[in-house]
Parts: sequence; structure tokens; C-alpha cells
Amino acid sequence: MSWPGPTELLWAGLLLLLGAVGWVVFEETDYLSILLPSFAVVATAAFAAGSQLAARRQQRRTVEDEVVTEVSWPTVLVAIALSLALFGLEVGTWLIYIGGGLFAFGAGGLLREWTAERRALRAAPERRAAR
Amino acid sequence: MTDTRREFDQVAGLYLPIGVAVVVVIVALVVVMALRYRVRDGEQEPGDDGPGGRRRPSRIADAPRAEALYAAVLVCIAALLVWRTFSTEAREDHPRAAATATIDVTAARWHWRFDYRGTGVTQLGGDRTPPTLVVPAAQPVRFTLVSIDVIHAFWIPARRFKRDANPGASSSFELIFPTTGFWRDGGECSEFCGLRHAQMRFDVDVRTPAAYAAWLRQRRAAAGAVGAAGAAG
Amino acid sequence: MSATAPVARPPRPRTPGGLVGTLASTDHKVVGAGIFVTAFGFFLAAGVLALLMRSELAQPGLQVVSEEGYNQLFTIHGSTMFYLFATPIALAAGIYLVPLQIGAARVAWPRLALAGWWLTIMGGLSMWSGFLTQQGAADVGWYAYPPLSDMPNSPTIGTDYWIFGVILAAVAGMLLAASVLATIVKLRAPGMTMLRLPVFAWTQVVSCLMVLTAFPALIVAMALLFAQRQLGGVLTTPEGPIAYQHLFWFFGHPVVYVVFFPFLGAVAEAIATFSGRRWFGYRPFVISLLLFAALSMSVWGHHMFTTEAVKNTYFSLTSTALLVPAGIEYFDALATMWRGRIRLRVPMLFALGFLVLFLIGGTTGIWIGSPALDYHDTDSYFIVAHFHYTLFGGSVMGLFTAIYLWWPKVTGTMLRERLGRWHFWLTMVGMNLTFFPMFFLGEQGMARRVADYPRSAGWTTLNTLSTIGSGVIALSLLVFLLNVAVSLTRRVPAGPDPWGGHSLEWATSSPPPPHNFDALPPVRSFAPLLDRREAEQDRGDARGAVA
Repeated sequence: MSWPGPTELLWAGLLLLLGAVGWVVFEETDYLSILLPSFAVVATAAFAAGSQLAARRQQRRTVEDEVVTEVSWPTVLVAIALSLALFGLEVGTWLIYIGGGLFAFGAGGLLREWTAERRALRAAPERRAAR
Repeated sequence: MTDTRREFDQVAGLYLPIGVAVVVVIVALVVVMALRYRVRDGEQEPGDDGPGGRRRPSRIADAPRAEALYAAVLVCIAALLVWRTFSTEAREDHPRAAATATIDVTAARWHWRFDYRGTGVTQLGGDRTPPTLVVPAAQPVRFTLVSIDVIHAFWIPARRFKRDANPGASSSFELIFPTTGFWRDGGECSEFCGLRHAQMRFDVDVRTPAAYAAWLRQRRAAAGAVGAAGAAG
Repeated sequence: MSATAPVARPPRPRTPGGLVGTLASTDHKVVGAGIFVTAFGFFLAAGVLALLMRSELAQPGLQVVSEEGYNQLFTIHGSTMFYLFATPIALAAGIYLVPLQIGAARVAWPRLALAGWWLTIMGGLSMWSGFLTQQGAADVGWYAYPPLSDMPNSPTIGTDYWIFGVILAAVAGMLLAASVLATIVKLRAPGMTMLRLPVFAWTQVVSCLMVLTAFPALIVAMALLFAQRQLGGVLTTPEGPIAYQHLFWFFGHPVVYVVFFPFLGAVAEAIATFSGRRWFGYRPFVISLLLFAALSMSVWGHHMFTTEAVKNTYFSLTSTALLVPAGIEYFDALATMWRGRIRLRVPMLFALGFLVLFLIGGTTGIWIGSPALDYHDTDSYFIVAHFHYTLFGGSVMGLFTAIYLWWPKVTGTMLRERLGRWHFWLTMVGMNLTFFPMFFLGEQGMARRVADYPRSAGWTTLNTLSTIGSGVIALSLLVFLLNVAVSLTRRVPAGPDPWGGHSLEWATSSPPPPHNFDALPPVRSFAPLLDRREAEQDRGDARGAVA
């Protein structure tokens, strides 16, 4: 993988450099020195971790092997459920409960999709080998 | 002494010609390139380089030296602008002159109040009429600025200056008004502050130092008379 | 043969689950187009709000809306344009095009993209639902500074729903950005190294990096604001409001670049394609993009010059330094056109319009990056003019460049050239007529966010001109919608590559099949199709020489 290495490091490095200029040259030790480096480091570290995980998973299967459910209503349900739960902060606790319930349904659906995908993935090489 | 308008004009005097020149040159280049290298309808098939010796697009894909040189020119322009700005900024942020008058400005939704420090004189507007800020001409006037509710901003366009009025933290600055005159709606709130933000204005009345002193005396006397009448009653 | 073919590649209906299934599809093309259409709908809706505002300002006095109404109009206009239109549509273009440009069959984490679409919809419903409540929608500006946005000063429910809307849209933006960035990291075709990414894909990389770095600050700011409104004691004066401004602008400045870079990328693709030349200076361009993005993360304090709470000199330095990467981009654009074979088709016209209009937005941006000038111009109509030249003149012109460029790829049909020209020239006229007078209004002292102005100020003529201009913009959009309708009803098939494109998306059918590619050409540079064409030319030359 030629990335996330260079691009990401360059990005974080540039942000740190700009923060350092503010701190050292302009003696801005308040928000500048807190916001810029911390967000830069946290965001790039988080993304690096995520993409490393993804890359490791990627090594185990090739792109063609990946099976993705074509229509994923549980994803939609989860998104709507979380939104409703958020609105519940204003509307009332009952909406938070409804949102939570829908989220549980959606999460269950997602779990089903993932297991089905994994089954299909395990079945796929055998099918090819048989052919 | 910091004449904010003069500072503005000086900085603008460098920025404006450069900006206009950049826009004119690049727009001209865009137009010239588009017309000069245009191919007409009918000969616009991609990769068309048929008979008749039609010109092919150049394949030169970079020019590192030219681009580096150009980038260096850009850095020089940026450095020039920054130098101009910094030298002005140093003067505006650290005024040295001693002010002759100090006016405490209080911003509140959606009114201005001007207290002339040490005199007991206060300028307030009516419900629909803005107050008048009376200041002496050609003398530095110190302002302290505070808000009692939300964030406002004190803006006198003729002085090319504004400053935020924050609740709970006062800010101070100096302005100088070189010429006498009366500006209807010469000052306004420029930080959105709710319902009647558009009406939060004040008039600016710049008088000669003598006329200003006379006005102040008269207002003090009136305030004193009111105070005396109140005490007598 | 025919019996085994379906086994090798199972036949997939274009929209599994029928029309309703498109709403839950994990195909990046369906999701990308869905977000695109949703965001464009928000663009039109927010445009209607702008027309209402311009009608109100055409003359002094209050004729069209009340002050309460006006404050809601500009709040929802700005919020919709940023949170529900510009950010989603910029990233939707990435969701749709990035896999095609890098030779991938799908996006990474397609469920994140799908969830991002729905969160955008829910956020939009939440933000706009304020208009249905008794006290109306949020009326605190798209930045909602406390203490104005605090409960005692803005007790309306609409403001709470606005906060929810912003949070949902911000989360959606992060999900979309994560999906696009992960696609570029994980799923590039063989041979497609980072330094062979097409220019548009690179602009998506920097935009996504900025989203992932900056948007958390917005979510934190919104959570703090909500807590302050409900519980109090969080953003107490005097430090609280300043801290909020820092958090907000730490997001708020980068976001204007998030919604700028992808359209710069679209413009670059259009200029290269319609000049018949490789995009000039690819490596310096990539480096300057990264520098551009990093610098723009460090300039947020220039929104706070008049607060006395920031080191003005530092933020002035970084803001002015932006002219260096921006200047390099212009150099590359002009050098690409130099000695090209320029076809002035509609995408190219919009790309050139972008160069001209963004230039005005950019140079005025350097102007207000100087505190001495900003002390006068900030929060005045000068700023309104400036950022509309960057966001309308830049991003929206770039958006239409992208639409005209990739419409044949997405729909398989052509947009009409003549209607496109009308659209372009009406946009140019309307845009300049609307926003150029605002520079003078601001210099003369007209503050932003005012429903009314005194007749004595002498601003009536310029305001009337500006309102007429907004009508011309509306007309130009009607022409565009007509063009869309004509294109979809009287289809002119586009074929896989109507323009002579450079990158991989033009190597597949229009619209692309669900799996995107049947075969990929070799990737040896960032313009593989141009490589192929030039190699064919050279072979032709060689044959000609031999003959």
C-alpha cells in the first residue's frame, strides 16, 4: 500500500507545522495551538487506524470476492432511527424510545445481512472451484 | 495617532492596484487562450488530426522551472502584502496618542448608549430615533465598548472601522475624526443581533473642539438642572 | 454458452427491488445520484429563499416579509446551502465518480454512503420543519453565535430543530467522506498509484481529509450549543461565546474549501478534456492542493479579526499565503489551455466562467485577509459579494461544469448545447448583476443580515440592480431544468466517451453497468485514455512516415 502513509503524514505534518508557526512565532498559545494539532492528529490517526483495519481485511479477500447486499433497508432504518432518537431530545422521551426500538430492529437486520454476506463469500470460492 | 481611514486607504492603495491587475491579466489570458487555441465546430472530433495539417495539441505536460519561478513571484507578492498589513496592524493595535475624550459605548438590543466619562453626560435615542454620537474633530477619542446582552458590532463606515461588542468583556480603541460634519445613520450595528438589527443605528456629529466643549457644557448644565430640579422636588 | 453466461456474471436488474429499492441501494451510482438529486433540490429551495430576500431588499421599507421572516430566510438560506446542498453534493460527486475514476467496482463501506444520504434527508427535514412551527424556523444565522442563539434570546423550537439538522448533516458528511477516502485507499485498480489518481479524485482526497479533520469541531459546537440552550452554564460569557466561535470557524472556514476543491477538480478535468491536453503540472498541482487544504485549516481566525480574541497577524499571514497555491492552480489551468485544441463546448464554458468568477472571489478574499481592510468590510455586503463570488462563481459554476461534463456518463444522453449556452450566459449576467453591486454596497456601509435600509443612504439603485440580477439567475436555472427535461425525454445517446475524456470513467458504457467495468485499460499515468489516444496517434504517424 503506497497509502495511507505519505499523503496522510504530509497532511498531519503540514497542520502541525502551521500550528507550530502560530505557537512559536506569533505566541498564540490559546485556541490555535490546541485546535489545529489536536484535531489534525486525532482525525488522521483515526482514519489511519480505520483504513489499516480495512486494508488488513482487504488482504484476506480480493475485490471480486466481496459480496455486498444490493438493497440494505436496515441501513436506512438505522439512519432514521438515530435521527428520531435525536429529535426525541426536543420532542420527548417517547421518541427516543421509538428511535431506540427501530435502531434495534435495524441493527438486527444489519447483522443478518452481514452473516448472509459472509455465507455467500464462503460459498463463492467453492462454486468457482466446482465449475 | 491612528487615523483608521488613512490606514485603510494606505493598505487599499497597495492591495487594490495589485488585485485589479491580477484580475485583468488573468481574465485577459483566459479569453486570449480560449480564442487563440479554439477549434471551430466541424473540426472538433477528439483526436482529429486529419489532412490539411491541422494543429495537434501540445504534449508538454509540465515546466517545473517556470512553475517554481512563478511560485517564487507569488511568494514575493504575498510577502509584500503581508508586510504592508503587519506594519499597519502594529499601529492600529497599539495606539500611542493620549485621548482627549473617553466615551463608554454600551450596546443593547437594539440601542446604543454613549456615556461621556467624567462628565455625567449620556446620549440615548428614543424608541424609533437613533442617538447621536457627538465627538470633537481632529482629536483622538477613546472608546470603551461593551454589550449587555448579545454580540453587537460598532461600525462607523466613514472611519473604516468596526469592533465587536462582547457581553461581559469590554474592548477599547481610539478613533480620530478629522473633519466636522453630521452623518445621519453614520454608525450602525454590523453583527446580527436579532429582530431589529437593521434599526440599530446612530448618527455621528463631529464638531470643532470648541463647539464640542460648548455642547458638553450645555449638556452638563441641563443634566445638572434636571438633577437639581429632582433634588429640589 | 447462453446457459453458462449467467453463472459467470449473474444478471442483476438495474435497480434491485424496483424503484423503491433505489432508496436503499448500496450501488454507489444509485446512492451518489440520489444524494446529488436531493442536494440539488435543497439548492433550488434555498434559491427560492434568496429570491424572497432579494425581493425584500429591492426597495427600502418592508414590503415582502417581516423582520422575523427575513431573519429566518437568511438563516435557512445559508444553512441549507452549506449543510444540505454544497457539502452533500460535493461528496456525492465523489461517491458516484471516484470508483469510476480509479477503476473500482464499488465504494468502500457502501452502507456509510447510504446512511449519509438518509441522514442528509432527515437533517434537511429537521431544519426546514421549523417553518411549520408557530414561531417559525431558526433565525440566528447559519453560524448561530451564542448568546444570541441561547434560549433566552432565541426561544424558538425551530432553532433546536436547526441544531439537530446541522448535527445530522455533519455526521452525514463525515460518513460520505470516510467512504470516498476509504475507496481511494482500498480499491484502486492495478497500476493506479496515488500519483496516478485523476485530478478530480485528488481534489476529493483533500476535501475528505478536511471533512474528517474539521467536521468534528462543528458537532462539538452544536452539542455545546444545545446543552447551553437546554441546561445553561456551558457557554457562559465572556469566554464561552469566543470558544464557540473558534470551534465553529475551525469547521466553518475549511467547509468552504470542502465545497470548492471537488469543483476545482471538475473544472480541471473539463479544461484538460476540452483542450485535448494533459492537465499541466500534475505533481506541483497535487502538492499545492495539499498545501492549499492545510493552509485553509489554519485561517479560521480571520472570521474573528474584530473580536480581539485572536492573533490577527498570524491569521492574516496564513490567509494571504493562500494566494500561492491558488495562483499555482491558475498557472496550471492556463498552461493546459496553452497550445491546446480548445473546443468551447458547454462544460468548457462553465469551466472558463469558474476561472473568471472565482478569481474575483479569490482576490477579494486576499483583500479581507488584511485586518486593516477587514475592520471595515467584515459583516458588510462586501463579504456577501466576496463569498458569493467564491461559492456561486466558484463552486456552483464548477458544479455546472461537472453536471454538463458527466451528465452523458450518468444518464447516457446528451444535454442540449444551445440551451446550455443560454444557461451559461444567463448565469454569467445574472451572477455579476446580483453580486457585483454588493461590493459597493458594503464599501458604502450596508451591513449584512438587514431586512431594511434607510432610503437616505442612497443604496436603492444598487439594491434594485442586484434584485434584477437574482431574477436572471432564477431564469438561467429554469433554462437548465428545461435542458434536463429535454435531454431525458428526447434522448440523444451519448456513447461511452462523447468528449474524448482522459480518465477511466470514459472507458465504460454510459451509464456504467452495476459492476462498472468489463475490462480496464492499463493505467500508466493519471490520464490513461489520453495515453491510449496519443499512442494511437504516434502509431499513425509511424505508419504515415513509412508510407
